Amino acid sequence: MSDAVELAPLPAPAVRAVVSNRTTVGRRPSDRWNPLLVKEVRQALRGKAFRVAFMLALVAALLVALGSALDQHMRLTPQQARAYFQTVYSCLVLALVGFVPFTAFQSMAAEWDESTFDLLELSNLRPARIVIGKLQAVAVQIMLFFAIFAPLLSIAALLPGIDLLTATFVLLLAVVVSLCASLLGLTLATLSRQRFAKVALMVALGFAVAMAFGGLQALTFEIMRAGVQLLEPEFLAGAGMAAAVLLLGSSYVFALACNMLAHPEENRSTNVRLITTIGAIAIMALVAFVHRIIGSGPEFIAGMAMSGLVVVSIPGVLFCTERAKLGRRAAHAVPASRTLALVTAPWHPGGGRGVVLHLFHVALITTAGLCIITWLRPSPSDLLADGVGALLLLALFAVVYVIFLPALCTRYCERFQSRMFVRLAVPLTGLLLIFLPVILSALAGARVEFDHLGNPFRNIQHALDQDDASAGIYILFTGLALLAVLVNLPRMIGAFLETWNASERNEALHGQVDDVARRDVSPEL
Amino acid sequence: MLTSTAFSGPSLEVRRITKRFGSFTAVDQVSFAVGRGEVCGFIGPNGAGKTTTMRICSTLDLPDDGDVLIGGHSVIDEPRLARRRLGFMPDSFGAYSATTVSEYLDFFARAYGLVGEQRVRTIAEVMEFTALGPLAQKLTSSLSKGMKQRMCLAKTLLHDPALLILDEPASGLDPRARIELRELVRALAEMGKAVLISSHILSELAEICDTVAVIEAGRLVAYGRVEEVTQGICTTAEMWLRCLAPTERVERFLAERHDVGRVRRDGRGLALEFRGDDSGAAELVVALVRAELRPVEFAPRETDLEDVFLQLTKGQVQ
Repeated sequence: MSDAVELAPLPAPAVRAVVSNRTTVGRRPSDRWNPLLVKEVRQALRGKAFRVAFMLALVAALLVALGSALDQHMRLTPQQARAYFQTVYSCLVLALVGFVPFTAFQSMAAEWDESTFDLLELSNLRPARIVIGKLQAVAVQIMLFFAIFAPLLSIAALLPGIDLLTATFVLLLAVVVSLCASLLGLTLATLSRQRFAKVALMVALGFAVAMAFGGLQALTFEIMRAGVQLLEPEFLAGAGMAAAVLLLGSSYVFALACNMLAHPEENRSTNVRLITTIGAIAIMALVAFVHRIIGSGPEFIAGMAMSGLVVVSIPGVLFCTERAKLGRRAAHAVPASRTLALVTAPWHPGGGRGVVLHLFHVALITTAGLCIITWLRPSPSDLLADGVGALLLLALFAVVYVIFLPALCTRYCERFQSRMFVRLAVPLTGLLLIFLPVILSALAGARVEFDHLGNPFRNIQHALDQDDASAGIYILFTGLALLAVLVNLPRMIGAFLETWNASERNEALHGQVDDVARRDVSPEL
Repeated sequence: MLTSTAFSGPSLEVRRITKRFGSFTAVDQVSFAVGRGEVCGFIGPNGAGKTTTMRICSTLDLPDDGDVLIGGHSVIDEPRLARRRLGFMPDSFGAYSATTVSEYLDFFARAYGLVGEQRVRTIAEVMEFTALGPLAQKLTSSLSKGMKQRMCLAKTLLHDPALLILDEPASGLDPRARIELRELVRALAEMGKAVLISSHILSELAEICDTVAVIEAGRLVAYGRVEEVTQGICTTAEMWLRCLAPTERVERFLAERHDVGRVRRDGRGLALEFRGDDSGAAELVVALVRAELRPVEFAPRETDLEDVFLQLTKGQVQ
C-alpha cells in the first residue's frame, strides 16, 4: 500500500534528545503557576460565555454609573448612597455568584465531555492540584469582574452613609460565597458522567446559587441598614462560628471533589477522616474561645458539643459502612513501622477502622465538652445537670445509631450499590424507630403518642428534665452501646490485624527496595 | 529505586492479569511482554478485551488478579512511577476547546513538570517530530482526525516515556495519515522505545510489528514474533492461483482433484490447500493448461496477520 501513495518526506526524528536532563535553567515566573490555571484562563478568555458575561457586566456597571450621575448629580443623601452601593453590589454579586460557579461546573464537566480526564489523570497532576487549579482560575475571573465594578464601589465607599469597614466586609463576603459556590459547582460536576444526572446536578447548583444570592443580598442589606458594629464581640463570635462552619463544609466539599477525581482503588477516605478529626477538635476549641469572649453558660457548651456529635456522626456513617478491606493501593500506603501503623490505623480506609475512628470522635467531643463544663462549674450539685446528662445520652445515641446497623450489614458494604443502600438505611432506621410505634398505635386505634423509647428527642428531653424515666433510659442505651461495640469487635480486631499485616508486607518490600538500591550504588557488592 | 535507564528487563511485562466486571470476565490470565525498541501488535475482535488490557497497562484500571510491570514498577503498587515511564494514547481522546495546538502541548508539558526553556525546547522538538509546526496556532477544534492523532501522539511524547501504549491510533485515518503514523511508530521504536499498539488494520501492523499478541474473549490465543505466530498456524501449504477462465470453472476443476484440499476465493484469484510436492505442482499447472483454464499465476501463498487473525479468532464477542 505504501508504494501506491507518493509521500512528501517525513520530518527527521528530532525527539531523541527530548527531556533527557531535567534542569531548572531558564525557569519562568509562570512555571510556578498551576498548569490548570494557565489553561483555564486561556480558555475562558477565548470562550464565548465569559466574553458575553464580561460585556454584560461592563454595560450594567456603566448604566448604573450614568443613571446615578444623571439622577442625583452626585449629591447623594446617606440613604441614596447606600441604595447606589447596593445596586452596584447586586450587579457584582450577580456576576460572582450567579455566573462564576456555573463556569466552574462546566469547566470540570468538560473534562469528561471532551474525554480529556484520562490524559489529565496520567500526568503529574494530582486531584487536589486539579481542583485548586480550577479554583485559581475562578479567582482570576472574580478579579476580572471586580475590575469592572471596583471604580464604582470606590466612589460609593467615599459617599456619606457608607462605612469603609462595612463595605470591605460585604465585598469580602461576596468573594468568599463565590469561591464556595464555585467549589460546590466543581464538586457537583465530578459526581456523575451521565448527561441526565448532570442536568439534575446543574439544577441543584442553580438552587444553591439562588439561595446564596438571596441570602447574601439580604444579609448585606441588613448589615447596611441596621449599621451593625462589626467589631462588637457578639458579631465577631458569630462570624467566627459561621466561618468555622463554612471552612469545615468547604473542606468536606473539597475532599469530596478530590476523592471523586481519584481512582476508585486509591485511598478515598483518609482525607475525609482527617478533616472530621480536625473539625471535631476545631469545634471544641472554638466553643472554648467563644465562651471566653461572650461568657456563655454550661448549657451553651453542652449544646455545642451535642451539635459536634451530630456533625461527626454524618461522616461516621460513611466510615463505618466502607468496604472492610484495604484496597491494593491503599494497603501499600500503610506505614512500615508497626507502631505508627497501629496508631494511624483508624485513619486508613475500611469499615472496622471507621468504627474505631467514630468511637474516638464521640469520646473526644464528649470528653472535651465535659471538661469545659466542669471547668465552668467547680462544685456541681448534680453531676447530670446543666445539659451534661443530655450530652452523655446523645453520645450513646451516636454510638448505637451509627455503628450497630453497619455491623449487621458488613457483607452488603462490599459492593457499591448495596453499600449505598446500607448508608441510607442507617438514618432511615432512626426515623422508623420514631414513627413505627406511632403508626402501629394509630392502626390499632390507640392514641397517637410520640412519647416512646424509640424517639431520641423525647429521651433527650427526659434527660434534660432529669425526671424519673431518665435513669432507665441511661441504663438501656448504655447497654445498647456496649452491645453495639461488642457486635463490632470482630470487625475492629480484623481491621487492626489487616493493618498490622500490611505494615509487615510494606516493611519487607522496603527492605527489598533498599537491597536493590544498595546493589545499584555499589556494583562490586 | 530503579530508574528506567538502569532497568534491564522488558519495558512492559504483563503478568497473568484478570479483570472482571461483576460476573463477566473481560480479561482472563493474560501475559506477555514488550522489550526495549520492540513494537508489539495487540490484535483481537471487538470486545475481546484489548482496551481493558491497555487501560490496565496504563494504570487507569486495576486488575483483579495479576500485575503489570512498567520498567520494573508495578501499576498497582507504584502507579506514579509507572506513569512517568509510559505514554498512553487512548482510542478516544479529547482536545480542549478554545485552545490552540501549542497551548494544548504547553498545558501538558506543564502538567508533566517541564519548566522554562526545557519546556519550550521540548514542545518545539515534538512538534517538529510530528510535523505539527505549521498547525501550532490552529485551534484544536479545527483539526482533522489525523492531525488530532498527531497532536495526541506529540502530547504522549512530551515526557519522553520509555513505553508507548497506542490504542487504535490508526482508526479513522486516511491512507496518507496511516502511513505517516506507521513511519512515526517505526522511528520511535528505532529510538529504543517499546510500543504496544492495537489496530484493526492488520496489514499496517504486519509491517511495523516485531511481535504480536492475539486476544479473543479475554484470553490470549497467540503471542510471539510475527513470523513464529504465522508459521505456527500454517499446517498445510497454501497456494495462490489466478486463471483467465471464469472462476466457477476453475473451482469445479479443482474440486475433482485429490491433491487439492479446501479452495476459497481470495481477491482476483483462489487460495487452495495443496498436498503435493514441486513436481505435483508442475503437473497441476500442466493439467490447468490442458483444461484450457489459462493459468497466469500459481505461487505459494504467504500467511499474513490477517490469516493469523482469522484462523485464531472466531469473532467471539463476550
